[in-house]
Amino acid sequence: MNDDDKLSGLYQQSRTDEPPMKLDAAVLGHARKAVARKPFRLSRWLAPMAAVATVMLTTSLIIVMKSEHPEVMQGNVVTDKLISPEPMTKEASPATVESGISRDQAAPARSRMAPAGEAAPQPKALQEERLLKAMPAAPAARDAASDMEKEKKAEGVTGAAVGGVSGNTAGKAPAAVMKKQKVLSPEAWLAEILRLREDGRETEVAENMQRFRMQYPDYKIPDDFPIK
Amino acid sequence: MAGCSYIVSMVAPHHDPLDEPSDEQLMLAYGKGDARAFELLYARHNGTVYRLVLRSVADKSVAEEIYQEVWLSVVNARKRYRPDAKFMTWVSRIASNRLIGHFRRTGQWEPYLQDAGEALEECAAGPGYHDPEAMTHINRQVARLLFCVEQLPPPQRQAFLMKEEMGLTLDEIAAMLSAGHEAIKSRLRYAMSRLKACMGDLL
Repeated sequence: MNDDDKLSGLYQQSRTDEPPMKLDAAVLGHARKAVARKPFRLSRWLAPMAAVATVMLTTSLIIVMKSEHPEVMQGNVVTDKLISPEPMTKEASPATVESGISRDQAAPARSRMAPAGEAAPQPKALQEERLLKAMPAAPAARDAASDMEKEKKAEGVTGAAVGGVSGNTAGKAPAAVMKKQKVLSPEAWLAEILRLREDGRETEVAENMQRFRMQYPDYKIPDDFPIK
Repeated sequence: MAGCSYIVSMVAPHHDPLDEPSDEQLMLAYGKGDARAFELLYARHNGTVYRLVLRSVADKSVAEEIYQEVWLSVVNARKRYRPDAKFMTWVSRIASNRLIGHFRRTGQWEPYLQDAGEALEECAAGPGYHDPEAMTHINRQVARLLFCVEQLPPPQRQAFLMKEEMGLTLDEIAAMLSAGHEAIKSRLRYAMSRLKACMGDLL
């Protein structure tokens, strides 16, 4: 064995030193801590959970409103105006202002127009005029209504109204028809419903009657009107 | 392994060498979050790393600080570890970088790089060496050798310790110390000459 090998052999016999236990503990502690799972912290999840809860609540409310109050979801003109954040003129919201109902009090009543109407009964002509003024697309709506009135005068109530609306809108989308229907007077609207019935569009007849009753809950439908 | 025998018994109560995962497998497992894999790895190599650092640096407190930094570097680099080289080669590189950084900061590295390997006869009577009468011959030899290693210039000492303690090849040492193959070869040759001279009649 040469001297190099002797030195190597001697060195191997010297390999007995070990790190003190405090160093082992420190290193192992750090190593375990580095891969330890972070504990669940409520504050970290609070904001996302609140956001999710808000979205779910809002979605549920929309679904419930759609199924139970479709007229509200379809944008009933009068009720929309009642809860509008924009300042309302006395003319735009006659029932609310005249009966002294505050805006906050008026909001829950968005789907029950009848009580407000009953609380402040008004002549039908005045009601209709105010309704027309409250329309978002007032000029266009008024034009449409006046067209109907003109046609009514010229051709007689039933035939003229139905012919005017369905004739002009026969090829248009149903939404456009519905929008135009909103601004009709009760009489014109009923005339149009009759016209729809003549065309055999029973689904639309039923839908329009339902909407009509919601729009004009206090309007007395003539006894001789064939649709109940 | 006296210092960490409690770790070995804790993490590997039934030791079957045939079923042992390799160092590289353990390190990869630790990188994926398995703390027990690190415990086993540490139990295998803590002594080697400790001796390398302790015998490279004269001051024990500095050695312990560097030793801890080496392992913390291993822990912190666990996700970047790739088994391209042996685990211990990788750890040696980390330790080597720390040690050379220490030597450079204290001015113990560059001045010795051009060392020609003069004899160290005087080191036998140098301070810090104790040779109690009660020691057996072999113990005296070992104590003397460790003293002589401590007297080597840092570049030669590093080369010697990496070869003897870590079991690295000349090329691995050369890569680790940023030197050529021949330079490391001559450093080792000078180191052995000095050690022989330092050991004197104890060899």
